[in-house]
Amino acid sequence: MDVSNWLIMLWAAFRRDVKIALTYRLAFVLRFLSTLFQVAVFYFISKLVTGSPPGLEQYNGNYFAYALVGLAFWRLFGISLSGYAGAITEAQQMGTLEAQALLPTPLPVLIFGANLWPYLYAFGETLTYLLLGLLLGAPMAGANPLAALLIALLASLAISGLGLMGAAMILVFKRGNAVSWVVEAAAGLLAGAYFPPELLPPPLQKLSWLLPHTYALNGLRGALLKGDSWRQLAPAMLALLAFVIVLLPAGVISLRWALGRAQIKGNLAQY
Amino acid sequence: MTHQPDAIRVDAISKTYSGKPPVQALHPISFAVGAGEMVVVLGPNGAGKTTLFKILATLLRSDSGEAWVAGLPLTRSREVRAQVGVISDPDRSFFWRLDGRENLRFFAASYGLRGPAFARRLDELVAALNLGEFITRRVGSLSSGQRGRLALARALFHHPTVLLLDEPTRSLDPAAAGDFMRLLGDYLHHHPRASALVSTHRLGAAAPFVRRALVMNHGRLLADGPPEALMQQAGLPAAATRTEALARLYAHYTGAETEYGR
Repeated sequence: MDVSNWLIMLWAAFRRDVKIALTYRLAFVLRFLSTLFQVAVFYFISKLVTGSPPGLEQYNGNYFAYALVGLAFWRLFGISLSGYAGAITEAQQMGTLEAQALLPTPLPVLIFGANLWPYLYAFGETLTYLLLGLLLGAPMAGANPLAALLIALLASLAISGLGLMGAAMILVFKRGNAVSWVVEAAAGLLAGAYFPPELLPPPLQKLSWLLPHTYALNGLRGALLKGDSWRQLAPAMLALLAFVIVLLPAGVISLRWALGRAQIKGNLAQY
Repeated sequence: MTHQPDAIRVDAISKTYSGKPPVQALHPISFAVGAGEMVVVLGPNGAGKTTLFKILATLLRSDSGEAWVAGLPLTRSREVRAQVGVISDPDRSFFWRLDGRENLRFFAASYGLRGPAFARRLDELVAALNLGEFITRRVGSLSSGQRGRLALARALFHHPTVLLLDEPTRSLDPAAAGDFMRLLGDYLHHHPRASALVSTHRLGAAAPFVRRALVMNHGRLLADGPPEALMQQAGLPAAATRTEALARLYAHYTGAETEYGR
C-alpha cells in the first residue's frame, strides 16, 4: 500500500478536475444562479406556512430555515451517493477509464479522487445556500458550526458507502444505478429534506430512521438552527458513526468485487 | 553470465468471454519476447490480438496459463503496470478539455514524476517526438496523428521496459502511421533494453522495423518468426519488399485478400 502515491494521485485528480471545470465558465455562473433561485423559491413557499405544523415547533415554526438546511446539504449528500458512479460513467464515456486502470495507482483511489472537486464545489454551494439563508433571515446566530461540519463529514462518509455500492452496480449492470435511485428517492420523501417526517404516516416515519440522511439532517438542524451542544448532538453523531462503520467497508468491498469481475469479463470500459 | 529474463513470456494463456454463446477469444498460446526485441503482431479483427494485449497489460484476467511481463507474473499487477507503457485507444484515452501537457502531468504523477522530474522528461519527449507544436493545445482540437504521438509520449514517459502497443496507428493516415513507427523505431534504437509488442494493420509502415512477426487468427497463434523464414516455411515465393512479404504472410495465414493477392 503506497499511501504517498495515493495522496499524490488524489491531488493530481483534483487539480485535473479543477482545470477541466474552469473550461466550463458559463456552467459555473449558471449553477450559482440556480442556487439563488432555489433559495428564493423556498423563501416564498415559506410564506405559505403559517402557525407551527408538526415537526416545525422546535424551529419556532420557521419553515424557511428548516428547508434551507435540507436544501443546503442535499447536493453534498448527492455527491456522496451518485458521484462515484458518475465518475465511472463519465470516464467510460470519455474513454479514459481504461487508461487510468493501466496506471500503478489502484483504480478505486482514482475514482475517489474524481469525486474530490465535486465535493469541494458542493461544499461551496452549501455555504452559499447558508449565507443566502442568513441574509434572508434564517436564524443561525447561535449555530455550532464545528459540530455541523463533523456531522456533514460523517454523513458524507456514511452515504459514500451507499455511493460505492452504486458505483459497483454501474460496473456490473452498466446502466441503472438502482442504489442511488432508491436511496435518493426514499431519502427525499422520508428523511426530512424539505418537510418534517412528522407529517408522514407513522410506519413511514419509522422507515426514515433506516436512512443516514435522517440523522444527518436532524443533527445539522440542531447544530445550525438551535445551537445544540456537542452533548445534545452526540446521538445523531453516534448513529452516523455506526452507519459509517457498516456502510463504508461494505461499499469498498462491493467496488473491489465489481472491479475484479470486470477484469474477468473484460468489460471495464463498456457502458 | 547473468540470466536476462524475457521481456514477455506467455505460457499457454487462454481466454473465453462468457455470454450466449461463449466466445473463445484466445486458445492457449505461448511465446516469448526477448529484452530489446520488437515483435509485430499481425491478424485480422477478431484474431485475439486485443485480448492478448489486455491480458498482458493486466486489464483482463486469462482463464488459464501464466504470463510474465518484465520478469514479473501478471498477478503482481501494480508492479507490472509500473514497468509497461501501453497504447490501447490513442484517440479516446485523454481528457479532451485539457491540453497535452496537463494530460501528461496527470498520468505521469502515478509514476512519481512530478515537478522538475516531470518538466525534464516532458522536454525530452517534446524534442524526441516533435510535440512542441501542439503540446499546449487542448487534446480535443488535435488531429488523430497528433493524439497518436501524444499517446506514445504517455506510454514512454516513465521509461518503461516493455511497450504494449495495440494498433497504435489505427486511426492514422499512411504518412502519419509511417511517422509513428519511425519515432517508435528511433526510441527503441536509443533504448536497447526496451522491448515492444506492437499490433498493426499498417504493414507498409511497420515493415522497415519488423524483425519478427506473430500471425494470429481466430484466437490462435499461427506463425512466429522472422518474415523471411516464415515465407520459406510456408513455401511462399520470395517477395520483392518487406511489405510484400508481410502482406503475403498475412494473406497466407488468415485467408484475407491483400493487394498482393490471397
